[in-house]
Amino acid sequence: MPAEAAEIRYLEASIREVFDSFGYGEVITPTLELESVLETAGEERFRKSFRLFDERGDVLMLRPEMTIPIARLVATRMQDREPPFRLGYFANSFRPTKPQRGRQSEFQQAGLELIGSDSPAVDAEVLAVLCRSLEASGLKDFSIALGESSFFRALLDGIGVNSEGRDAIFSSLAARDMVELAAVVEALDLSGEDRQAIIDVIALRGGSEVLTAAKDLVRSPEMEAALKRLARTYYLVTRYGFAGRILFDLGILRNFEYYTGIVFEALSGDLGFPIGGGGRYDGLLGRFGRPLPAVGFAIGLDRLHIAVTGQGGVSIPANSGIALVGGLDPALELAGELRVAGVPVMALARETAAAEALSLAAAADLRWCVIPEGDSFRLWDLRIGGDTAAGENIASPGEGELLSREDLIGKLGG
Amino acid sequence: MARSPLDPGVLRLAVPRGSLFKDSIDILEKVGFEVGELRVNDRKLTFQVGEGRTIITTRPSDVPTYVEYGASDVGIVGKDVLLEHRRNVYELLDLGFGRCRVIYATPADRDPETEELKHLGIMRVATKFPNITRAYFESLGKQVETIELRGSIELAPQVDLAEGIVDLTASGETLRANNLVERAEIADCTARLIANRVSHKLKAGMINELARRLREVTDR
Repeated sequence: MPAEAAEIRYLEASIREVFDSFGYGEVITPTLELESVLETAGEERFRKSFRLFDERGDVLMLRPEMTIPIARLVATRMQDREPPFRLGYFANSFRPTKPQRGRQSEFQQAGLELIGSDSPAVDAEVLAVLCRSLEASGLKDFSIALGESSFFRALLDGIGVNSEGRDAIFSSLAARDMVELAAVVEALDLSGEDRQAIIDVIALRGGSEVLTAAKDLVRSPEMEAALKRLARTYYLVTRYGFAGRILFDLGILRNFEYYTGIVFEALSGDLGFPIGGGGRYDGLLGRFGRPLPAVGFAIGLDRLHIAVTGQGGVSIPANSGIALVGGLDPALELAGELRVAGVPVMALARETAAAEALSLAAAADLRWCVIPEGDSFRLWDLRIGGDTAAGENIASPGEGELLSREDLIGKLGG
Repeated sequence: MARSPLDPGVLRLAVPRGSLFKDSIDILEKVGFEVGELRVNDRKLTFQVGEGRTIITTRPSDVPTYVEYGASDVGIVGKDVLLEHRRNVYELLDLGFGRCRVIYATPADRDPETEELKHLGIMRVATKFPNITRAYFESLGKQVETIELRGSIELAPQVDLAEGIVDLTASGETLRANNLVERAEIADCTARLIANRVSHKLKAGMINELARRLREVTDR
């Protein structure tokens, strides 16, 4: 529906302004990628994707996300340029799923990647862009759940969990099954204290007091470094003015094998699942032959749209367009002049009756309706008397106002 | 301003009507929920059970749906339902009660699995759990046709609708009464506490506290 599309495009435009203001350039990549390229990234989770064959019999995949195509772009076509790269995208991706509200097989994302720096300062910038983007979209109630995957990984390394144990832990975390996780941890050949530490780290959630609580769980220099990074990032986010948005969650469950540093999810009380998320993935670019650290996020525009709608709706600036009877012929020159003057004109056939023209204008959410009358034009302002979009006022739009051609252009284009 | 459906001040719990109902409200009473009205009113669906706490009662298999969508923050549900529906929710705690097993059974007088496989290749299994059934036989590399029924699964082999069944059993009594023999245990199930992904973080304090107190009163 035009109204829905207009709202999603408006959200997109609001986010694009924020991306621009931080210096992220937009990139467009192919919708179809070679399966072999995506598999370079070693992503098990893309096993379920839409695939097709090209004319040579190679397997193509409808891109399931945008980060890997951008990694490939940076490693290949941008080879002769020097990092850091700030790249943004507004694109549709595809994953087979049982369709639900906010979860479709084709979904629109707005996202960005900052490639070439591993500083906590760029982590903080990326979090700030995410918060700014959500605010600019009109979302009032939201939080960012923030974790640091290297903290948990350093714990497992430090206490000597073998790869089998890690796999079992990650698999129960991926299934969000804390009961199985407890059983897996119980079965590990570790001291009771070490087992408890695993459970405790995953349970660390809350405000900035989590950073203090996490200090008690530090048992190696690597864990200390990870925690310091997170604290530094948080401090910088505070200076961006977004401290109130951050909720810590050191057990955040976002693809542990992929993310190497911060991981985060954008949450809103109006939606039972995250609006978006991301994190630091320093290992991915190396698989494409250009080892560079990277951090990024993606926002699901459909999900954002649902959440914003739940919080008062998308506030698109009012449309100031007109419906012009005879705009196809004979008044097509007038329509052209108005468009040049910046007025959107929906042309209607010359025989359109007044009542029908008014109702068409209202249905298209236009502000004005113009009908030629001899050498003059009758102009109706559909906003007079309140709600126009609903169409209740159409029955009594008043007499309108009779204007000469010059006055009409002056009034609408001025 | 309208209150957000996930108002941080309110914890919304989904409780299954059916076999887990009584144990569920017993354990909730132990941790301080005012459940008196739930015991006497079996027509009402939503209950205020103390300051900042509401309970809805639903069909057992709907509990994970309410929780996944965020219509409830937390819920109580059998592991069998979680295995069957694979909803995207946190499984926080084994509540210990409502123990039952998902089993594969065939008539006692013959093991039609081997019989049918020799002649037909594909056998038919009647069940309320098509996903669990498919996953189980796939893991064995066996091809079966699942026949989905809503109840009285044990009837199917007697009227030649299926050669075997996958069903829940607690005591094994129904199996014996219908001349069926358990051939394999597929899953051992108890009631679980589950949570919505977003509530799990936005209401971490309340949910942690509930899980902690439930853990205390759970005899495990």
